[in-house]
Amino acid sequence: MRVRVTAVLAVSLSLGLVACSGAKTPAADNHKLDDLLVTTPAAKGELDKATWNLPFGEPASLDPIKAFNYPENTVVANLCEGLMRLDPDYSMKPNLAEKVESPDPRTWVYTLRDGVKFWDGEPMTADDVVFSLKRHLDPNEGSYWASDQITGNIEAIEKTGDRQVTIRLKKPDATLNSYLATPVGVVVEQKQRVAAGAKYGTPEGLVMCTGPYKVASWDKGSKISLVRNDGYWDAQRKAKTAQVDLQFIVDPGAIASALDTGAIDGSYDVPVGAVDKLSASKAGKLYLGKSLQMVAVISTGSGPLGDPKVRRALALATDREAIARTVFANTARVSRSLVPQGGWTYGDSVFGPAYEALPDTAKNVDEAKKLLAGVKVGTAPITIAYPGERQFYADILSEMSNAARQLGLTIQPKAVPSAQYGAFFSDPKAREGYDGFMTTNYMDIPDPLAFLRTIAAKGGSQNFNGYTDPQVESLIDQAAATSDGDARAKLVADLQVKVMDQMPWIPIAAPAVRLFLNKRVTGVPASFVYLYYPWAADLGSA
Amino acid sequence: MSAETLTGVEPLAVTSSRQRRSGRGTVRRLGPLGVAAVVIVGLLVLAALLAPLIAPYDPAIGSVVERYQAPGAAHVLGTDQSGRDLLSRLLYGARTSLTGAAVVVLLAAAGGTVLALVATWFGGRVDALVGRLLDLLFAFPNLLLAILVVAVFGTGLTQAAVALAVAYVPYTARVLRSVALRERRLAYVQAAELQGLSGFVVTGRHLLPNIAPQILTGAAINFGYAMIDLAALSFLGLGVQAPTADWGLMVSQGQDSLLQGYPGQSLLAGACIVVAVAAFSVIGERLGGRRAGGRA
Repeated sequence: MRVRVTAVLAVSLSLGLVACSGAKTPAADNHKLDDLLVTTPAAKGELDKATWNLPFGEPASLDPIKAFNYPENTVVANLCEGLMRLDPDYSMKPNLAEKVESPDPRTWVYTLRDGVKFWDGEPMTADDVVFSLKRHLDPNEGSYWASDQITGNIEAIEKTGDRQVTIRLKKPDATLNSYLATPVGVVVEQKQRVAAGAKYGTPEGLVMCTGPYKVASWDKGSKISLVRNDGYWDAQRKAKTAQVDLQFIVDPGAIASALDTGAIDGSYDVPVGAVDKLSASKAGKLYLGKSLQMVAVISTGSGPLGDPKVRRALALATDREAIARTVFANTARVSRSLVPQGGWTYGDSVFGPAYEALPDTAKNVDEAKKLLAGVKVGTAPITIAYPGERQFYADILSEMSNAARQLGLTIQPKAVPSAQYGAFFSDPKAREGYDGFMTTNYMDIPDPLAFLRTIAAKGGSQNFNGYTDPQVESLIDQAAATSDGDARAKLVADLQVKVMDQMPWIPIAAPAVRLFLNKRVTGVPASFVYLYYPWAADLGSA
Repeated sequence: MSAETLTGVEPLAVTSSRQRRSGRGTVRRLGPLGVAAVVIVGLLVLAALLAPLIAPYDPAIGSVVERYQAPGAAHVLGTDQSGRDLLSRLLYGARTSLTGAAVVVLLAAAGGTVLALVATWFGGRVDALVGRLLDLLFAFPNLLLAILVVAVFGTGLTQAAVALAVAYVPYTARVLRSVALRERRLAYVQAAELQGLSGFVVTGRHLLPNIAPQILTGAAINFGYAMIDLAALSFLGLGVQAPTADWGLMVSQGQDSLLQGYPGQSLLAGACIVVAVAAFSVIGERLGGRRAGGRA
């Protein structure tokens, strides 16, 4: 007993010492939020080995069709390739396909690149492509990318030539081609998929793809080692680093220390809490990149938050600029729209001005009160769930609560363990009893139509509040059927105005990509393409 | 109440009166450190009771604009990452931290005592059955059991406290059983039994008062451990829920700030836990020593 008490006192003493030595780091004020990066300085040479971290943890599977989140996609992006490729500047290029044609709005014809080989030396065939694309349509394969709007709209996938595959849609969809840069369009070897059976994608079964890296080993719980694919089809884009070890450190303090000491060479999504420390690090540099991510409060449609006016009033009365400045340590911008600024590949001349024309983001309590005049909000508190492990959500909700109080509303934040939080996005029962829940969301592809459609379309994959509006439906259909970029952008900009007026989600901030690189490495993209683009292949010596 | 007044059996008076203690005797047993510990506990209880009167701010309200303010005139201990006053949160935190532990200790003491007395009185198969039940509970690490209960019944202070109480029962019961067993074999108990008094009366009126010091000292020691375990549960997000002020939760919520060079929140809350736990442990130890009916 006495020993335990002594131990407790010893711990308290050492904590005190830590307190004395807890040096303050300078605030991050040198970030250029107005000039976010697309990529880091190009690599000067090759490297034998680099160590990278996956801050969201270990992938559950390497099967591309199960890659639907940060850890899986960040790895699979280097292994498996799509028919199309999303480049760091958000331009869309043919990848495993060398040419794409759309003879009519419902038909997409892909001519496959010659000379592409899987890691085992087998050539990629049209049969592999058809097989891979069809996996999304087969319920037994359990694709996380299967959705009513994208794969559900596919009528047929056919081999129409030795090196040609044709996709026919039920109704026109201009976003389909972009989706082929995501795992929807990834090609795997049919023979190996069939042979691996239920072990496919696991450390035992792995995968067989065409990318610039292949898996050397996967020590469950420890690391995944990627080695260069020397037979890569594009000699210009061969990996510059022979081996990349991926670790799975999730603790913010440990990540910061590992990067600061050089134990790890780099990481995307470094924790917000580590920004100040890493900005001042002598080991390397923190880059802020152009992003497709956003943080928002999703209304479930129930309670006072079910009223669009309440949502708009809360957005107006909340000091979102202070949140971006403090909670995100100056690494996020307040967004006027649910679509992060710059999150488009077409119609820049339309989307740019359209964004500026949306209501601005300054805190305005008087305006919010006017908006609520005559609205019966009742006395019920607004219950909003957030994953308890992520402190910054609590800080955001604390600030929103202040706004709510000024409007005569009450916000009740409720922490939910992360393990249970995923169900909020898939199971309506999990959302019962909550009026809203927090999300860090991202656009699958830089196309505002595709993103707004998930939120506002009837049956949209992220339409969590039963939002329906005939005008919105009609705009979505028209835009999907319009192939000309600017014409489509005009329709989507109108759609954006409608959606922002109803605000099914309250946008809080659009965080930039937070990338840290040790000074010995460089070259990787800084923009939000690392979920689908083979970023590790660009990594080399500084 | 002592046993001899009821039984009137002369030789037993010596045996039973050894359990009686004068106030001065208690102070002597506590020693200077023990008295200091009692004072600290008293202050903590006062802080908890008077929090609404003495806290300078609402513990749940703050603005990120005022985050991480250094200690000063406006905020004596500074503010946390949400701009809330740390002193107010610590004062209010004493409430949840102490109440939770008190619930655990009361329930564990009640449950443990009943089980110990039942096992002692009936002996034989009942004793063996209770023993196995306790073994079963011992096999579960406390926190694991608590996490299991929270997973089934949901997060919250009540659930966490009840779950921990169940986990604490075997510690209390095991020690009390051995103390009660020794007492059970003494002549005064057997005399009472021979006189035809019911088991309920003998255990309730004679055994219980004589093992009461062990129950109390055990409770004091358990109190400290219960605070740590509840703090751990809150730290894991399974106990007290934000934005309620709670020391364990504050240690947890201060982690990000720690990384940013603002260790105040975690350290202050951690220090409160350490001081409170140490004080309760010292009191329990001084009063009961090795024979205390608590966790060892």
